[in-house]
Amino acid sequence: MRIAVCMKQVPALSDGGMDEKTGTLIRSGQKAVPNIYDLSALEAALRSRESAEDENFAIDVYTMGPKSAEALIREAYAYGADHGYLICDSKFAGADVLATSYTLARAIRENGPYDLVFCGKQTTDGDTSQVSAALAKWLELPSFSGVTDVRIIQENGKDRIYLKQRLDDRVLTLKAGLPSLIAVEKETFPARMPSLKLRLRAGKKEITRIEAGSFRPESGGIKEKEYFGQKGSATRVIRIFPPERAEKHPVAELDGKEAGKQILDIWEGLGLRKERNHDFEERARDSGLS
Amino acid sequence: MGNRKIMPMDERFQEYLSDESKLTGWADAIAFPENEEELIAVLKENAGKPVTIQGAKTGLAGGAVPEGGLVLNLSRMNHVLGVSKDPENPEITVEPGINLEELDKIIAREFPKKAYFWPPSPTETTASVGGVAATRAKGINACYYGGTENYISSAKLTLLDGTSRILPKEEILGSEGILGVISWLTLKLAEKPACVWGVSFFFKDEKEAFAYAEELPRYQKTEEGAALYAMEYMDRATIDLIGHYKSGMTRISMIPDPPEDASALIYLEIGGTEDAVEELAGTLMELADARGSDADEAWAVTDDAGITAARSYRHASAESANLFVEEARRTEPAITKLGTDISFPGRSFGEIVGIYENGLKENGLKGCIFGHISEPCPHVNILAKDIAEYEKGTALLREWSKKFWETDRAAAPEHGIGKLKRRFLCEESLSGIRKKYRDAKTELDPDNCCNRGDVFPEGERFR
Repeated sequence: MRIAVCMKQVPALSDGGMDEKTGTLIRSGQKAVPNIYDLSALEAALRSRESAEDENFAIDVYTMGPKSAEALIREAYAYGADHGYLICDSKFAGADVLATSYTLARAIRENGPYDLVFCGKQTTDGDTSQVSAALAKWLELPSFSGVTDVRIIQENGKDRIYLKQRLDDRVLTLKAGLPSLIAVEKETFPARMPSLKLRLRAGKKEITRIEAGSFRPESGGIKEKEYFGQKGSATRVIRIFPPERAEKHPVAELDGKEAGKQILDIWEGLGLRKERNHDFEERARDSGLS
Repeated sequence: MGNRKIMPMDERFQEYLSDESKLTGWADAIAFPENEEELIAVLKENAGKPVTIQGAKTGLAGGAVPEGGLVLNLSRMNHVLGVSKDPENPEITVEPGINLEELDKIIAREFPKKAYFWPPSPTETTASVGGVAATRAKGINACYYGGTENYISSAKLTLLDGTSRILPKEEILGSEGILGVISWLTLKLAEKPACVWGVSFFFKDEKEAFAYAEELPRYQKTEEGAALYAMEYMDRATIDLIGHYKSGMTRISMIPDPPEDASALIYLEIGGTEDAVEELAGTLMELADARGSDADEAWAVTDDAGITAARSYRHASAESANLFVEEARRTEPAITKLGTDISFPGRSFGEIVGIYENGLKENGLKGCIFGHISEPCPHVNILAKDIAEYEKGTALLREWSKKFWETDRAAAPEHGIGKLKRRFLCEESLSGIRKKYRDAKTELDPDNCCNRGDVFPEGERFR
């Protein structure tokens, strides 16, 4: 059994700034960490391996990013991944969901076939939750999102998967054939702690680098470079701005009479109708506030 | 809420009558000064009456719990007063109410080009800097960096009459607020190590864990580019207690449980250059393996988030013991935290833990033991379910105090004496501690108005 796990390195703080010109995340100066949702995808893959009696069970990790994203693969090795592929080329930079999923699909197809592809639900920087479904489309695989349980089972001598899928108002229990793509829920696959022994080995393990030129030409003679990076992206960010926040107002502690007077002043300031103020004054008088 | 104003104590301020010791007190009034000027105005207005100083109320000895008079809460005195960017001597001057988490962020903001930090490292990161100084809390990295006194270059003490003194820091640090109010402190910063790993080893046999602990000090200072920055211990009872309360602790709820057959956990932080840290981690793994700790089960985190999580797990040991006390208090309000945290320089860690374990067993009491391997300073918490166990536990703490005073002259608890530990320390050991402050008290606070009930009895006067 072979499993591919897609992972991404993200800024340690999800409130990092955006470059207003390019509409992309400013990553410089921010520490990079594995996307926490992808650690759950890796955990799901590790659990599958532990429950399978298969000596040839292999877990390959794929990540797209700069050279520094090697650190993510080494981290994945510390958790138990067998092999890592770094998809790294300036031609891949600035990719949106479409271009990212296409590039990941090309790398996975190039090194496949895989029985299962695991993804996290979303990333903490992009937050689109769409890469897994787009990847399944490019790979022409059945796709299951919101997965809270996954087990590899045998039926009529064939490997299949048993899944629990969380939908808005129900949980689906289903079986599916292989290969398939699964996007897992973070809560049901909390990542284990990375192992010291594996971490010490991680530094010496090989990482395979994949560049734009690494791919064999696609059949059909498509101009593939137009599918990569910013060129291959279907979306452009026009403007990034923080949402408006309510202004902070001081909290005043007043007695009833003073509070009533101030409320009336505010109403008047807002141009509310005068008779409404009279109503309020009458009620305030009745209740002993004035 | 006015700040200068002294407000009568009413139900809005109930939370200011207690701290992490779970003692609850009473007070007549409360004030939240926002700067030194307001602090002095409040003190002058309150002249002649008792004052209890509060920081973040994270203390374990009840030092911030009032017994009448004014509660002086300093949490709003949380401003930066100055920064020295001299690369040879980076410093930051702050008011006492800043907490350790905020301080970390401020240092990162003020020193964007180089990674500095303030080395005192209590795992309670919501503790205030003033509280750390007042109790001389040192945290888990003290085995490498030394005590808190090394990282405070000066401090100002404001007396209850509103006048101020610049005293030698040795007199202010650890004085638990019984002399006056620390109105600002200048903190010395250190450069962060290039690389830190947090490693947890699990031992099936606690005796093997103790033997491993004995081997660690030689890696505290090395010439090899890496050293141990923290050495912490947790027994099985602590691990179980954390497991019981973990789901309610957001910072650690996702950390998996340690192996079921683990009798003890030893958490190490290894700092230095990347290659040297890796090499030392390998050496420590081999040593642990030889002591029966399964290398496949050891955890290793290497990024800030991982280290924070590992430290939160260590901190959960104290937090879980406090939650146990909180639960017991629902049926028996007289129960308080029953713990001690005495250091024993020169003794072996396992020997001290053994004394605590035997004491618990002989008295039919349950407890949990965790703490610093260096010095050594194991913290023991007796988990009393009812008043009979509480009384037995109190007597046992006093017995230990007397025994350790006689054999080691070991007295000063790491987290201060406050009001609570006065009950647990023997007279001889208390006299030793009080002697240190008697002259200063006579000069600065003869009517014992400042943190009355902490260290000295309520009724004691110094005229």
